[in-house]
Amino acid sequence: MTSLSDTFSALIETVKGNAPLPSDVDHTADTAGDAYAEIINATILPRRVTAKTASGARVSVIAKNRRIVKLIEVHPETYWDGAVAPHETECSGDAEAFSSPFASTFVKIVGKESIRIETAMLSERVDLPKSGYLASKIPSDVAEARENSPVSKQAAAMFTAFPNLPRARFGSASEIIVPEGSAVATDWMATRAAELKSELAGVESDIRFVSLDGEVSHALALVWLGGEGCLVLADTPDEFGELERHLGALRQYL
Amino acid sequence: MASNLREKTQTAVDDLRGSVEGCNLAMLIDPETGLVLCKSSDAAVSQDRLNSVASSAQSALRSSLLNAKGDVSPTATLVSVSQIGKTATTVTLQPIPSHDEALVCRFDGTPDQDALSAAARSVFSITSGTEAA
Repeated sequence: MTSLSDTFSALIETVKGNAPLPSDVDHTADTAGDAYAEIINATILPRRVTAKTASGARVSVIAKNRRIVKLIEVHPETYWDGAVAPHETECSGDAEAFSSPFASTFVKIVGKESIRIETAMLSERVDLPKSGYLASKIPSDVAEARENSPVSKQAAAMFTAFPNLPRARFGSASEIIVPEGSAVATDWMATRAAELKSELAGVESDIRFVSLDGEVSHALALVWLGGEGCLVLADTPDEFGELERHLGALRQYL
Repeated sequence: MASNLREKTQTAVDDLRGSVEGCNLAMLIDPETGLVLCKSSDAAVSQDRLNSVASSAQSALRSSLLNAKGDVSPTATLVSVSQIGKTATTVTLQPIPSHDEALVCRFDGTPDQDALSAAARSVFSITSGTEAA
């Protein structure tokens, strides 16, 4: 009864104009999981619930009886970590099948931005499963997913991911590896790293790919996340492609 | 003559946006001033937005990272800088040696770099007056 009264109280305050509409409230990255869980927990009749950021990333579900019963959309779809497409995934408390990939996807979508959470009545009748993913599990699962994907570890991960290429790490840790036969020398990489560290000092994040096209082409990939940076140099089309794909996967940390 | 060049340039920029998958905005800018010289887009884009994209492109071209080009790739004839955002990628392209113009293109997702470079070279061949007859 107390929780229902709180819900009606909030509704009355919104109608009176004393409180913003729930969909107009910005939830920070730190509180997004809790806010999302609160809304799902308050959903009894079937409703579509969409969490979205200003950059357009979003996740949309159908919630009913205080649980997520159907996953409708993940955008960009590359953020979805599940084994099958979002709309084909059965929602449940099973960590491997649903709750872990969902929490991980939610963390990627939120990134470091604030989110807004919109709810809407369903426009058409939809067959909904009886089981689902309980709202009460969302805060802890999202917190665990956030812990497992720290932004500042991504530069080091990129440094390790390309063992055969000339590369430099900079930030709190500094390391330069230039394999024998590379197009550049260690001093050259050190100078680039120092220049970038200075240039990016006031910048929160930067992911860049520089392509130099000509008779002989080269590419430089830069990651700067959480105060840690990595620069990698490549000179074959296969390496360019691998670097681009790697950088693309890091969008989630922006 | 000048209006013919303008028309050909606009057509080339329109063609670039149409031919490279995922491109929703392409514009030619003056990299020194950030002035937008011509643009092609899916939908209406505010001048503020265009200026913001142009300013970001200017910063990309001034980055210390581009100090690399002479050392690493002395034969390079085109530089492209892709700034990867959460849901979109902005690519700034400029011929080497530096030109009076630079191309800035926005994409949903990751662009096809080869297709983009080829289309950009077509645009620059027109703006530099070196287009084949």
